Amino acid sequence: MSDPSILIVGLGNALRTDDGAGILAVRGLAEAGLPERVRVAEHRGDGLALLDLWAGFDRVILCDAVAADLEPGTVISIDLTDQDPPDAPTPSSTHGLGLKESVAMARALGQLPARCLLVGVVLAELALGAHPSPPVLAAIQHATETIRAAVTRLSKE
Amino acid sequence: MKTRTIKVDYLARVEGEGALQIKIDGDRLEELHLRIFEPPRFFEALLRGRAFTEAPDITARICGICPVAYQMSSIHAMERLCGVAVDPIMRSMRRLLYCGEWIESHALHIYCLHAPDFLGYESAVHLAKDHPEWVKRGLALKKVGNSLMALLGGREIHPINVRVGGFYRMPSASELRAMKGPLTEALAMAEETALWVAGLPFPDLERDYTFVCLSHPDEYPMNRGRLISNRELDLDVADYETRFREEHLSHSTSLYSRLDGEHYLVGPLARVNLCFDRLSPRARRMAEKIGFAPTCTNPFKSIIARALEVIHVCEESCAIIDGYVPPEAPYHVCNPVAGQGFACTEAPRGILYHRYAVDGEGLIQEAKIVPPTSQNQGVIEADLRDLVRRNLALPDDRLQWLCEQAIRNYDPCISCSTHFLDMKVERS
Repeated sequence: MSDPSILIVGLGNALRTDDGAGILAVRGLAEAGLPERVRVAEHRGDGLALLDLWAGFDRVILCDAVAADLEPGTVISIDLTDQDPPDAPTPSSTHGLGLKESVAMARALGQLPARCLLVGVVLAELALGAHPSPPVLAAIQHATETIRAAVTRLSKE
Repeated sequence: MKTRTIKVDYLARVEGEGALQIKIDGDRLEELHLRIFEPPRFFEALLRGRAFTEAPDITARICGICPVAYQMSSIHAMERLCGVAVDPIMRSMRRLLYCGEWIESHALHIYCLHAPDFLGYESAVHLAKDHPEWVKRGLALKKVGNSLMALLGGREIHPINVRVGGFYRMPSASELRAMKGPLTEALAMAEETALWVAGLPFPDLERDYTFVCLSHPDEYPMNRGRLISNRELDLDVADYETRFREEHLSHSTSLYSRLDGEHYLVGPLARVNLCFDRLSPRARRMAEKIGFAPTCTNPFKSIIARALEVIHVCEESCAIIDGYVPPEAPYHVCNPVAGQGFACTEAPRGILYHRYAVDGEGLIQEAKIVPPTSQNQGVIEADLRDLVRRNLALPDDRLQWLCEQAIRNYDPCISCSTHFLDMKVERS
């Protein structure tokens, strides 16, 4: 049965500098408090596991670091309902699909939530380390606000 | 005379970074190299100076799909060194955790990595578009394996609940009983999987292999026994390095392992062929039903061996849960002993050998890790040479497809073996 609530998922590895942007953004949201019926999750590793994580939710917001030919720290929004996520910054592992392949798999299996948005933070680096690069760190607040605005929008749908 | 070069610069649907290069001169195969270029990872050096108790958690990081194998080989090696033998309940819980990893790894490989090759699909996503019901079954099966790993290992990837001497926490009887329903469903899905893969079109290739696996009279090979082959090998794991040697070839960052100087095959096909009588009753009945009998020497049928093993581990998992009584303590205390510890366990892809030299303080002085993919690398290349020679008339794209399919017979994990694929065929 479909749950009327909204799921927000921060994706990435917080120990790989800018790859932690999605995780840091959703942590910021959770700390600041969210409306009832909004759930926050963190996810790292196999993208296929997202299909289980969002099962039952028909409105999902994902936040992830993305590679794009834009200034590092730029926050972008992509409606995954009809668009694809950007290519992964590193070659994907066969033992854990990346976001793009996982969304394509969910679409093929009819398991993509009816509304699925991606808030992406354009990354600068993927070195080892707990701290994102300065432009990505500076963009976390913007990503958090973008997610909050998306929650408000989806709540009215 | 026409020279052809087939080059796959980056092999898809194998774990890690590798490439394949084939040079054909007219109707003659001139050169074939499976090039593993994933950077060296230095795990063996990283272990030096670390406490013997840290080996399971450090080595688990070598692989995201078979971390349990690394944990099992390292803890068995350390326990052998410390002279600790764990009790039967703890052994069975280790097997149950390993069963979870086999289910997860085999289901992923069968459905997402290998089946698309047989069915003419570029990837599992393409397969899912036409046959979502097949891929859904594979993912449902994988999920049960993941759940088992999360329950016993604390999390699905890189479990954190395994320690030298046992576990940090043993599951409660009710937690395990809750897995019985999903495992019973998984067993049914595993049987459907075996029937499905048995109907795939198999390329024609029969090879004369030396199969190697662990063997124990009481159980299907996983975490104890002697090393055996279909030739004359019958070896205590402590003597592994007297017969098995690794060598470095310039085109690969993975070492090549040889048995008395020759290639050998490890993994599901070796285990099913050599230990068929120890498969679970339902796995054996299924083998009979689909006409699979040892000794199978068509490497493409490894996908059937994998499916039979999934039936086995689902059935064994149910039996372990039925017999579970929580032990008084979750682990045995292991005090450091100076000396060498060895162990070999059966990772989903084949035997995984570990050796550690530890000092009186319990600090690791030396570590040696031989993963299944470096053991299969020589045999993969030999298969490819045979396959290419038989199929020289194929156009490059068909030949490349067949070669990639043949590589995936072994579910190679390049990340594990590096210490992989991009394919190039040159024809002249």
